[in-house]
Amino acid sequence: MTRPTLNWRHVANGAGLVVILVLAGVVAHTTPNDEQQQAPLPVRGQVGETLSGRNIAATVDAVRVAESVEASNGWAGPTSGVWVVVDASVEANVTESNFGYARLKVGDVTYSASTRPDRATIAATGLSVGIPWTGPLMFELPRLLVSGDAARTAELQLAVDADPRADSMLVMPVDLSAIEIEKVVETGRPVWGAR
Amino acid sequence: MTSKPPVEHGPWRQRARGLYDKLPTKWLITGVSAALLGLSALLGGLDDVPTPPIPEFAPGDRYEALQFALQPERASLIDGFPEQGVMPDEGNRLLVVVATVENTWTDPLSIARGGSEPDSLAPVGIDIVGDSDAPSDIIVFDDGSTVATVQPNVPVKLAYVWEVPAGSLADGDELRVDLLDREFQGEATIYFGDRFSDFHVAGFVTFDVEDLGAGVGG
Amino acid sequence: MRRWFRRNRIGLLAVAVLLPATVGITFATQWTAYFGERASAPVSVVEGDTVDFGRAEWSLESSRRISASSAEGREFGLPPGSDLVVVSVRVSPELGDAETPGCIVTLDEHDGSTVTRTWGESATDPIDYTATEGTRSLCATDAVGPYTLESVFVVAGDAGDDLALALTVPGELPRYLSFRL
Repeated sequence: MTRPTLNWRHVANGAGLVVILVLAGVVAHTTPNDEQQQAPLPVRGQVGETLSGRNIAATVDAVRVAESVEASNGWAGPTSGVWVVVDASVEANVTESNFGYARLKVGDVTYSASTRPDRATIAATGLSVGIPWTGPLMFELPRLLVSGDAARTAELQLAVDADPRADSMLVMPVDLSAIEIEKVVETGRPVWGAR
Repeated sequence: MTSKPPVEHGPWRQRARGLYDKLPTKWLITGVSAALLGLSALLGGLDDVPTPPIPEFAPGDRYEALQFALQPERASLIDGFPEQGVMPDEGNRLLVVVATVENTWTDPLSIARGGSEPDSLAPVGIDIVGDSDAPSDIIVFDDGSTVATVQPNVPVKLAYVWEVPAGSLADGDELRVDLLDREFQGEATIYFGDRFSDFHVAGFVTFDVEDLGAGVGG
Repeated sequence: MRRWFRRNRIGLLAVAVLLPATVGITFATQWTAYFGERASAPVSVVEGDTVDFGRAEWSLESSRRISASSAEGREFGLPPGSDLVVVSVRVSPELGDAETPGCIVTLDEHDGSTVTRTWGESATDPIDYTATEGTRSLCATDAVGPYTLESVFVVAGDAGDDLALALTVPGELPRYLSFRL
């Protein structure tokens, strides 16, 4: 055999290979996985601000925490934990829909707005386009969680569909540990109409 | 490579080698294997693996499943819950099993009812009126609401309601209720939620059924 | 280069024809079904016109819009910040053995030709509106003659003026009637 010669073509081949491998590595690492592809599109804001997504718009007025709730329809909220009461004003933006997703995320754990108060809460209510429903959302949480570390970075998530993937989701941070736990909280009747 | 001439052995060694060549190796292996199998069969090695017995829980014990912990309390027979609008058809009664359920998962849990398959409690050995063995209603004991969503780490006392024919159970009867569990497979990619598999009975409770004869308060 | 093109011209021609054809046919089979099941082809009707559609004749009789802050609005118990839109449509169904057409009605707010918001009928809304005498609130499948269909909507007060009543007759999809108010 003759001695192999090193010429520019070989070097170029080698360099080209390295470049392609590096590119492939970058692409493989940055390709969004299923969860990221289907994730809801967050619309972030603060409590008090009006947040508007594609199909939902809401304003959260206040967040209170109490050991028991006296709702407008007479329902008294018995629980072994505490109630986080969120007063909010929610409307649909495009078409009439059911308010299907109202959750409070504390650390890894998610809590959904209770429908036990029935008509005294706006959870699962039918949303009108352009005409908001103003009323309470009640979340049942264990007492220890509300005063723990994770409660400082709790998030309130509101969306139209019970399957919130790939659509707008309104996200608001709430510091639950900074809210004083009251003995009893009274909630108002859900009201339909602009405020 | 160099080759050596074959070593000359004595006559008996040659005969031994000849015998060795004639030996049917395959038959020998089969024979030895059969002998070993036979031996293990004699000693019980080929019997079925004994399945572990399903544990029994008493009312008041805490049963821990994958997504929840359940404490069964009692089972009763009643005529109906008129305030909640849960009334059986003519000739039927309601079997109510009261249990305290605590969600130990990280998402709110919806307890199966109506046409789905049961996911926590299933009574055994009695006719259940309806599409499936899942309870027809689940009532929160403290306020009578008919929602079945249990929030993480907040224990709730629930009344599981099944519709049964009137004569199927009587006061004092023993009722076995199976405690169900499942394994977590992963998050679903096509639909929103989690996937589970291996639905199985992980325990059972035996209640003495009490006939209460009227709607239990609440 | 040119010689390569010339030698392979038949193949290239085939690709040039078949590739778009394949793409077109694949898309067509999927998307015609999609658009065919949706109300995607509006038949525009202005006030005064009569249109023959789906075994009946339809014409826009009248429409009015009542604000929640007006006296009438307060009487009806309209929620603050909303308007009541009442649309009357005259329907003359073809009588015969078959059922007269039923319909689904929604109110669309337009921005040019695109629909920005949609409202459904206010059948279950908590307002005190009583329907006008002699009108029907739903399309009658058992009609014995012409009738007036009155549709009531509670819309947002800031809804623009470009509103249209979208009337869908199942069976006539993807075509539907769009009455410009």
